[in-house]
Amino acid sequence: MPAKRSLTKQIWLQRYLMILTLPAVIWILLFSYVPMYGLIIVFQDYTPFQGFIHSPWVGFDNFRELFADPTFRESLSNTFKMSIAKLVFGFPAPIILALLLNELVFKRFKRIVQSLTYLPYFVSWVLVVGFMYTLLDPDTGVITKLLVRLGLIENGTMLMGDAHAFLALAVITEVWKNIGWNSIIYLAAIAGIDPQLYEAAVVDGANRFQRVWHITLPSLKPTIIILLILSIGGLVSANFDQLFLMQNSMTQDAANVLAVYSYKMGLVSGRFSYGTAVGLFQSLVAFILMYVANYTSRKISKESLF
Amino acid sequence: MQGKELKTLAAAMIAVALLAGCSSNKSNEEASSGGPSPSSSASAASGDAPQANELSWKKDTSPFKFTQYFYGNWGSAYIWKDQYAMKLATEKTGVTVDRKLATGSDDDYLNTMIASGDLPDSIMLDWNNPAVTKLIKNGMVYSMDELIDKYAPEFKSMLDPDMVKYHSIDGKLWYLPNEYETQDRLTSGVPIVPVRPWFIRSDIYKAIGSPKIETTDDLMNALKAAKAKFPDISPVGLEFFDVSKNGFGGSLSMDYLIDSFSPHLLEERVKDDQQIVEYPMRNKGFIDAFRYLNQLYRNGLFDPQLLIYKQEQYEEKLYGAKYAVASQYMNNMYTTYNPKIESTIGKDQTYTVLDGLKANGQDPRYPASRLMGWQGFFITKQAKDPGRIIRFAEYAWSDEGQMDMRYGKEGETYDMVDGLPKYKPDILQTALKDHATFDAKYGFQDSTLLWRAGKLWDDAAARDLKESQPEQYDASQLLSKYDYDSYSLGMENLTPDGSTPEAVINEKVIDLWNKTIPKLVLSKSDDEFNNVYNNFIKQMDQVGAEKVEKVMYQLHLNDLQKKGLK
Repeated sequence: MPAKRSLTKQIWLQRYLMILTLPAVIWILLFSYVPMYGLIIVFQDYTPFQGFIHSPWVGFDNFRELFADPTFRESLSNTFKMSIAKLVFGFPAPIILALLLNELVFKRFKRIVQSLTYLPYFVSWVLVVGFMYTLLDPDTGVITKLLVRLGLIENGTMLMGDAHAFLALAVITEVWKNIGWNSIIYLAAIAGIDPQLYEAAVVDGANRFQRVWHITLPSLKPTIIILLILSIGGLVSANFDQLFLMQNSMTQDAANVLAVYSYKMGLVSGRFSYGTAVGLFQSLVAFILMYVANYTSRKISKESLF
Repeated sequence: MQGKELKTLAAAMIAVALLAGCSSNKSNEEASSGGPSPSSSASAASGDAPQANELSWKKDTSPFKFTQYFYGNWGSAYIWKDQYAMKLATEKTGVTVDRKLATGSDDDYLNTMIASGDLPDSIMLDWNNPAVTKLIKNGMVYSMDELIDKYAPEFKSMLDPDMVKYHSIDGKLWYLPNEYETQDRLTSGVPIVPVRPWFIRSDIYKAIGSPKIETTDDLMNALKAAKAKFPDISPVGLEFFDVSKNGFGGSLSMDYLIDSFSPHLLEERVKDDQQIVEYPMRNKGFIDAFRYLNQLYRNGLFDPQLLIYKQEQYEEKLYGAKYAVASQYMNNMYTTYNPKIESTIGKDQTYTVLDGLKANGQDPRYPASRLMGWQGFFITKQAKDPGRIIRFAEYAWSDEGQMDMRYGKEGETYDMVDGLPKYKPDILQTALKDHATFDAKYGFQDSTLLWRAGKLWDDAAARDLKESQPEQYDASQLLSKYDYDSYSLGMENLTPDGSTPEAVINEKVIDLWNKTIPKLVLSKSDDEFNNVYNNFIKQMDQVGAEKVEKVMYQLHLNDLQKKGLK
């Protein structure tokens, strides 16, 4: 190991790499850090006319109101319910799909399935929710009719207006929409596994299941863990587009997650400070969760994001 | 190379900045140069007597375009294309209104617009919307007095002094209200029907033996009979539910029931001894209307999808005559839905109006105040040439402008019959049978949107209704007999000012009630209904409803004072 180089020398040596990353750094500064200046309004009673400088300071009043607000507590618990359900069902789904696809021998079939499963990713939520209303219509919906025939629901059930069905619908549609897209990363990782490992396993007499269990999955572990940490960070930011579009006055109680609440308070009611406080709280929780997940993973498996 | 690019960029930026500076200077100049001309003309007018009725808008009829936001994303008929009335206004004044609607939620759009300061030249916004005070207090709009004095001094004398008194805030008029009706409105003009009436499909009514439907129980029985005979039909159709848009009734169709179950609702809400105006949700009769809806639901007579339908979804089904009993704005039913149903399905399936319903042995009472106005016409400080806009408003307000908007050109689109204007027969037919085409082709009533009360057109409207729409006229007569004058009750404009803490509480109450309505309506038993209701009252008190009720009492006193009643 050579003697420690001076900082300037290090920078000089890495100058091309640094220039390469510069645009990204500027972009992040400009669009992620500079706007954070606006966060000071959570400590103000902000009105756009008085601006950041002249709006009166109110200290922690917004947060005090936040924690006293029953709707906020409801939206917090909804957020966690929704996100945990999405994590539990949505996270393993693409891994399983990738493993299944990988076992397919008939290449053309594999490609068709892969394309078909990731197509929904490109359909906007507006359309997906439109489909849902049509397919789940109590009188004419195809899926409703199917479920009635199967004896799973009563005739005339309005699934889109049922607060109890909301969570399940949100999770199912989210998995359906994202499963193909998310499996691409795993498929790529699987493609990178050294074929010699499989050949050796075959020689040792491992069957298909054992090969998946002892070779494919362990090789995927780093990818899985990194993606898991990232999704834990996203736990509190339950998909706004989807839930906002799916909600209606009958399912409001179930659909009211932090992001929706922040939007309603900030933009619809024009209470910018309060809405921002909700958003800031959300980010804070996300940060803590991700940090804890990262730390735990580093201790247990030596894999970590940072 | 890089340095050179930077320089070019910097130069470009400076150029842009300079240009921006120039343009703002220019508009200032225009504004200030616009200033002296009316004053000089005013002095000229005082010199020459015959100039008295020479209106300021005639001074400049060069092409001019200004933008306008219309609060109401449903108002696509109001967008200026090449409708007859719009073209006529442009032809005379040179002005084109670039009217815009919100793409999504109106409140969302409006708040963002206000927050970013990126306002259009003018705004049409409900005069009692909480955002109005924000616009005024933050100096985002011109006062009408200021602009009138500067650009159109004679306009002032054209305004009804009572209106100016009622609508002034802090001694100034900040907007021109449309649909401000004068005192004689209750006795003249088209009969007022202040509720969305309920209608029954004619063939179904006949098939169940044309029973008398006088009470809420009669209606329930009729619906049961209809359901038995026509199992595929949806028994009751109501307009969309949204408390923040439609008020505490939730759906505009609910007033018909509420005014039956609680005929004295407005009086009962005022509690002088406690100095509060109660939320209607505390009123037993008001809640009974929802109880009735719940009973309809439990009898399988109310489709719960209506609670989450958009208005368009409801209207689509109404066009198909898919409801045994449906509710709709009177004029729309007779000029849009019935004609359409008649031409596509058959005359037998058109709708006939129901009489007002008695509940608990009491007749209904419909609060029929004359309108104090619907929307205000605001001119924002962003307007590049406020002078031209106020002069355009002057044109719109004048008799000429009113006639242009309502009837067009004499001899071309209307004739005077017995001293009153009347559309040419083919236009009248389009207006009655196919209102959508009427809007798209002629745009009468839709151009300036500054409807003002006037005997000429009020009388003409009343005559036309009687003559060419006897059915609607009779229906209006039938229901307007339950009207009472609620003007003197002082219950207009009770919403707390948008910048106060009470407005926040009020928002929360609205949100809570909005969530509660479906739960009430879909309750499976009386116990569940009562539980949901009691819970709601508890939550409402928790968020501080009483504070708002106190403020509403003050606003009630204000309203009385402004009307000169106290």
